Amino acid sequence: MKHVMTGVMIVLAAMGAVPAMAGDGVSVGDTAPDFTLTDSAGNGVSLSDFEGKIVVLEWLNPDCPFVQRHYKAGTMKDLAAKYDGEGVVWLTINSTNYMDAAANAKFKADNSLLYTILVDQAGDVGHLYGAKTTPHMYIIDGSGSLVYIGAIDDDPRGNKGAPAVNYVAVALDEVLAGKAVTTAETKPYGCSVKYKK
Amino acid sequence: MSLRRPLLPIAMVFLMGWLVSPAVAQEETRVKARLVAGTSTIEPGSTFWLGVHFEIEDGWHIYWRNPGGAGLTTAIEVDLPAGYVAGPLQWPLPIAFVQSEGIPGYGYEGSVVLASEVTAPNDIDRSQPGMARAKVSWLACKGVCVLGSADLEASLSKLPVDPVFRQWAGQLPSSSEISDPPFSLSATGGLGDGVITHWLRWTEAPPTVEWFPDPSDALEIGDVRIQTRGGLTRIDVAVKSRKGASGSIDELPSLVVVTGDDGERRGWEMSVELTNN
Repeated sequence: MKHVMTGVMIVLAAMGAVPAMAGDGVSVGDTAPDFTLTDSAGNGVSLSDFEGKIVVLEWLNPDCPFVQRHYKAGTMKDLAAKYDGEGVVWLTINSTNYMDAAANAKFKADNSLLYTILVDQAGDVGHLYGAKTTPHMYIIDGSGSLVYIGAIDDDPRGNKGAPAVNYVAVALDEVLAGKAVTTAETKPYGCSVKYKK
Repeated sequence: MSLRRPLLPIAMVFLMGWLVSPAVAQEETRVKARLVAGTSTIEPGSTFWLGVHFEIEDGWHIYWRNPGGAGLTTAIEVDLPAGYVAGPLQWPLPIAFVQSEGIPGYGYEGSVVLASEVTAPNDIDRSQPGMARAKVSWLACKGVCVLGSADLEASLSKLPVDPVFRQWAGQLPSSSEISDPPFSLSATGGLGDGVITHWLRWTEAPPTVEWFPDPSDALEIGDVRIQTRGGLTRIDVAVKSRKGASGSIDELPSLVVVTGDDGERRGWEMSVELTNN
């Protein structure tokens, strides 16, 4: 084994740099990077507009069947409404390369959504945060730190029924109670974000 | 670190069952699925392959047991009469593709058979052979994605034989218990470094080496870089643990697939321990 390791170290030096840390984008504990996008009505919106508030970021693609299932079930809309009363801000970001403001405005109207949809056709904010799937969820606490990154729930196939755990709801309850988020990172599921090539 | 037998841990994730049935076409999706078997007649106490043959429209793909950075694992739940025992689902060697910029995917294009070995009871009642049933679900993608599902069934007295099973075992990862891998494995790095490096020392290095991580709720896999020089392949894997997520962070199981000069692909299951150094 010693012989093998010696050889390994020599080649290690010869074979160049190691890759970057896993999960390009942000990690739990990071300060959420600020960004500015326009919403589906053309208004500029920055994360920093909501300084001091708890913010949920939801990555959206209306063409994705996982997203369609959750909107049909009212998952996001109900959750946003439930926590709106607690002062939680819900920002939905669409990094789909082919969906402009009009497409997002239509989705917002069709679903009678009260929360903001931000247009990110260039994918800059998606890449900044490392969003991989639709949906992909992020929670930022009142101090501006990321406290949850991952899936909306533990039911990728949508067949668990009542026993399904909504990770975002659990995390928001903990944040609102002043507690640390227990399950702070989960594997997101869904369609890949359709980034601009 | 160790080489391991194929599929044992993974199998537990899936409720396998299998069974046979005439094809149930899924015309509205991009995938057709039908129940298939390695034999039409089941002898008492015998073992036989039972699975699902997926035919995937050109340009589309479905997913391996680890779909990668996005996607959905193809799932099969088998329901067999009492006395039949289905083994773990066996996954042929996957291919890698890019789902979107920077998001890897692992799965299948064209056609694939996912199957498990079923053991029949010793006292088969020929007058009441029973039915084999399978609930199948998948995600098919080609830029856009479409969910698909099928409920398949067939009589155990007359299973639809698929000739693919004549060579199907050759598409599975090799078992180190049956076939010694043509490399020795060591590893450096760990979770503390954010990178673990697999070192594969070959007796004869293959032209192409691919690496596929097993599914994990607890580990996030980032960039993967593979370099082969001389008789040594280095696989750098960016890895970190997900805070508060369930699952083991003690090891990183994976599949290495090599393509020889003749174009043949062969794969071996392996696993490295993860340390915090």
